[in-house]
Formats: sequence, structure tokens, C-alpha cells
Amino acid sequence: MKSVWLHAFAFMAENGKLPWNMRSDRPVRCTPLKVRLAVLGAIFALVVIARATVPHIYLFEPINPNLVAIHFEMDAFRSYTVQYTSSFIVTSNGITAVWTDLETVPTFPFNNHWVSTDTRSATARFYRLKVVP
Amino acid sequence: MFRPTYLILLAGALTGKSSACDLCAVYNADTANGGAAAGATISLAEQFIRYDTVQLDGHELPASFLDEAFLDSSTTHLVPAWNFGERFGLSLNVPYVLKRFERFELTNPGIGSESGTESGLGDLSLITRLTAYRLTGENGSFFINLLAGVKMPTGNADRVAEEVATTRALDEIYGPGHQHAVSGVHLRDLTLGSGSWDGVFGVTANSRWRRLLCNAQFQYYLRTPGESDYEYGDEWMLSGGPGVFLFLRDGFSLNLQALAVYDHMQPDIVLGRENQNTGMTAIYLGPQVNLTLGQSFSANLGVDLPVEIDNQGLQNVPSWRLHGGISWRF
Repeated sequence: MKSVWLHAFAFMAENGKLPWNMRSDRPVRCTPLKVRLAVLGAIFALVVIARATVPHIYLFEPINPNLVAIHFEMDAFRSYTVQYTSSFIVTSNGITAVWTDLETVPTFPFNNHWVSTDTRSATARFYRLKVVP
Repeated sequence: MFRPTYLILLAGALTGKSSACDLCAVYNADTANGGAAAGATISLAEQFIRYDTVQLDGHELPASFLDEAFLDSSTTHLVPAWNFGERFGLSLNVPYVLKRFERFELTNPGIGSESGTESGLGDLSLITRLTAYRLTGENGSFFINLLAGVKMPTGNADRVAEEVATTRALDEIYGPGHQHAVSGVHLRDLTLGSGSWDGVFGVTANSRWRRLLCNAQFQYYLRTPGESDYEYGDEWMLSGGPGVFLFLRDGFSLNLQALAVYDHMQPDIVLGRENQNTGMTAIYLGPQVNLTLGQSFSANLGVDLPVEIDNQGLQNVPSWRLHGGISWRF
């Protein structure tokens, strides 16, 4: 972010738009326009990506002896499916698993906090979130 | 000779999903022709509200599956009334409620949908009218009326009980305070009655000068805890506007009014705390026509279009409202 401000100041100084108390007689290194645009584009893309929440189950909460609550945050206009598996399979190609849908949450038009529930019948279960798009 | 014929209407002042605007229908019946002559009146009034705009905290949401939820609410009021004299009258409001809906609800696991119809007798109201001030002349008239009454828990409130039971069950799973709404149409919206004894109060001012007319109404609905201790929020509204008689002859009149309505509903109380998806402040504007034929018959028809609706939480809010009625004086 610091470099962005440096670029902005350089651009303003170049055009004589810096406030009088920030001007300097020292020569200013000016970055080519293409580079500036590329930097701004990259920052814009990062901001867009950063706004989307990374799919993350952040809390498993035993509700009672029979139920467990699975908490996660949802972005607007993204569909979330909670999947589970009871075991992983080690093969020559690596570790795989057969995932089963527990719940598919429809696409909401606003950010949301969602709590799925599952029975505690299995000895152990592993969960993951499938997010579209 | 032309009698100072004057329709005084609260028809623009319809309430939200929970109530049936008891005073509107009663006053339609009671006050046609000034509500001044002794005798009986019977009226039939209809209020239709289409709830299909989904809003979250005052903002309309972009298109999504939530748009599939809707509520069409129709309330037909039969209002027999008796004026004991020029100043005092008594009215009974007998509403028949019909609600067609589709909604979503939280299930375990996921979201389920429900659609159907709820219909039956609503909550009866008994309303008294006192004309506090009355001035009539050849060219105009001015009335101030005071209204007070009680709404009785005669309508089926099973849906309210279901709302409370669902909230309690979800509280046990997720803890109190969690937001459980997955639809703008809630169980409390589907009820025919609230299960509560409520107070109904109103003040109206009506004036006419030659072909011009203007009226203003204030209504307050004082709610008390009802079914399963669920308490609908208090509601007050201010409505009225100017109008002009397009035809004003002996035995026939037709006027056109511009009505504005300001309607404020407090949030409901469920299990001792505020229901997060209730409470609304709305402003409506719309035209209304009022007709009288002879000394006995009157009719009105109007539509309300929302100018601004600020709601709390996730709710389906009205996209338009239609109201009308006919009245016969014996």
C-alpha cells in the first residue's frame, strides 16, 4: 500500500498538484504509465479477492449428546454445501475420500452467518465446505 | 335539497401484516354522510395487500430465491353500526381474513418451503364514536370525531403459537439471539388473530368547503401480550389529504382524493425479547374516489403505493395496497 501512495505523490508532484508544503526541488522519479496502471489493476484485483470470505468452518459446537453445530460465514451470491466423510483412503495417487453432502444452503443476496447441524452418531467425521462460485 | 354529503375515509390507513385496520372499515361504515344521523348502517369493506418486495433493514434485496416468497392478504370487513344520535355511535367490525402465501423456513437440515392458504374469522372489534366538534353550513362542514374501542381475540392464533414454539426450539439449539429468518414471510404474518385484547384509539378531522375537502386521521393500536405471550408491536398512523368533488348534485356526488399515509409499527416481543424481523415505518401515497348515491348508498375505492418503507430485519413489505367498500344506511 505504501508504494501506491508513493506513486500517487509522484504523479501529483509531476503535475504540480502537490500542496505547496509537500513540494520539493529534488527530481522525482516517475514510473511509466503502463506500470502504474498495472499496479493499480493488481491492487483492484486483490481488493476484490480479499472481499470474498475464504470458506472456513470456524466452530464445531456440541449442542447436546445427539447434535453438533457447524458454524461458517457465507458471502452473498455464493452457494455453500457442507460435506462430510468418515474416513480417508490412502492410494498410490495420494489421499482421497468419498464426500457426502450434508446440507446445501441456497444463495442468499446478502452476507450471512450459517449454522448447520449434524447428528453425533458416527465415531468421527471430517467436514469441508464446497463453495460455488 | 342536497344534504352535506361527505365521505370520511380512513381507507388509506391500512395496517401491516398483523392487523386488519379495525378503525378503517368501521369508520367507512359509520361516517358516510357525516355519520351524523341516527340509525343503522351496514358496510362491507375490503383491504387487499400484496407483500412481495423483499427488504433487509430498509433496503430492497437483489433478485434471489427469496423473491419466491410472497403473501397476499385479504381482509373483508362486515361492519354493522348504529348511531344513537348525532354525536354518538357504536360499530362492530367482523373481519374475514384470507391469506395466500409461500414462504421458506429453517429445517434440519437445510431450508424447506411451505405454501398454502389461511382463512377464517379474524379478531372482532367494538368501536365507539363521539363527535367532539361539529360545524355545518350551507357551503361547508367540519367535524372532529373521537374513536375508542377494543379488539377481541376471536381469530385463530395457531400460527402465532407456532412462531413462539419454533423460536423456542431454535433457541435451544443455537442459543437466544441468533437470526433464524430465511424468508421475508414469517409465521406471525399468517395468523388470523393475535390472541390478545388490544386497545384501538383514533381522532379524525374532516372538512369540506364548497367543492373542496380535506381530512386527517390519527390512529393508535395498543397491543397487549396474546397467544403464547407473543406481543405484536404497537402501531400508530397518520393519514389524510385533500380532495375535490368532481360531481356534487342532489343525490349524487363523486370526489377524488389524494391520500398520504404514515404508518409506524413497533417491533413485536417474543419470549421476552424483540423479534428481530418485525417493525416497520412506511409512507404511502395514492388516489381514492368516493361516491354517494341517494341518501343511503356510498362507496369508495383507493390504492396505496409505497414511497418509502424502512423495515427491521428481513421482511416482505407491501408493493401495493388496494382498499374499497360499500355502505348502506337504513
